[in-house]
Amino acid sequence: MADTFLLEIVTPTRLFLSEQVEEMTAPGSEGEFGVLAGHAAFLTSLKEGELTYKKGKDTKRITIDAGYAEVIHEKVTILTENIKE
Amino acid sequence: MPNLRDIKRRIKSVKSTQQITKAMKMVAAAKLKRAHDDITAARPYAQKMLDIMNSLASIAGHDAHPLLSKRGDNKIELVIITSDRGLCGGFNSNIVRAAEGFIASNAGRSGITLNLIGKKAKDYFKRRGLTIRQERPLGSGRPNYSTAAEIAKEIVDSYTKEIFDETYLVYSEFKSALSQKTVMQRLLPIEPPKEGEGAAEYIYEPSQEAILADILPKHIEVQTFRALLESSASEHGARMAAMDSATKNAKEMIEGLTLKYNRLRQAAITKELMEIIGGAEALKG
Repeated sequence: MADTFLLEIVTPTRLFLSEQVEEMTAPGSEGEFGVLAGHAAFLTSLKEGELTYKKGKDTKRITIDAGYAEVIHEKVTILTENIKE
Repeated sequence: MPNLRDIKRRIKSVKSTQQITKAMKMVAAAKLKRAHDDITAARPYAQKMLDIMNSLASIAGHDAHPLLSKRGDNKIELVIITSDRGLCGGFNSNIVRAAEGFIASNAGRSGITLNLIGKKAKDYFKRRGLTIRQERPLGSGRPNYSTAAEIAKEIVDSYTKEIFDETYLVYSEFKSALSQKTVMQRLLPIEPPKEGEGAAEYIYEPSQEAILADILPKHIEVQTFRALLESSASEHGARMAAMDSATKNAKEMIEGLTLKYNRLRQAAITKELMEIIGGAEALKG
């Protein structure tokens, strides 16, 4: 099993990010959750908060608005209306 | 018969008009490029949103949410998107005509209300004896998501309050720089997808119903935003084409006038020569 998965962050006006990452945490409406490669299919709404993802040694943080996260086997899609870096 | 100076003045005036139309064409072309990029940029979000909504709605069925279920289609609301400014060929009149056609063919319904976006729609419909429920200009600059969200929210609220039972969007879809197509799209109630289409097995959080209830109004926002973007790109495309042909016409006109000017000038010179020769002959005799 690959140890990275594709993380896509999209807003209504652009594709913000499309990268292979190792780890991601996002502010779900029922609490923060983390995703590693091979996560079960999962669909949740997101509340405003901080999203972090890890790629190699870098950890990046961005602030997102409310939105949705769709997790399928090797891919995570984040839909949000606004992103503040 | 116009004299030489009149023609010269005409040429000068047509030339300055041509300069304006040429500049407008360039500006429209630049804006069109940007509007087109905006449409492309908005696509992934809209597509993903649609995928998620479809998979949710197909599991949930028709009556899972008020925005999905039909209720005797009596009162209709038309959301008409035009531009704020003119000089874009048949762009606005095509949309207005399509809307008029729709209104005429639905005259039997118990009520049609209008929601006008763009100054041109307002200019046309304000004296037609129809109920204008909402109207707003587009404003300057590119369409932004928050405007679309505002419009959509108002529509969803009124729909929920049963002020109308169906909503249609009338706008111009961008095909290419040279062609636009007026489309009539049902916004509400949302057409549920066919059963079993793309229904993936998910773990839902908080719950399927809650996400669906949350995502349906978002879907309306996305649709409205897309319509605004398409309309904006179409407007610039139409303006570019209109200004291109105006520039061409001006060029033809200048050519015609220049020819006329030269002919007249030559005729005047010939006439003067004849007079001089005539005068010289007379002196000789």
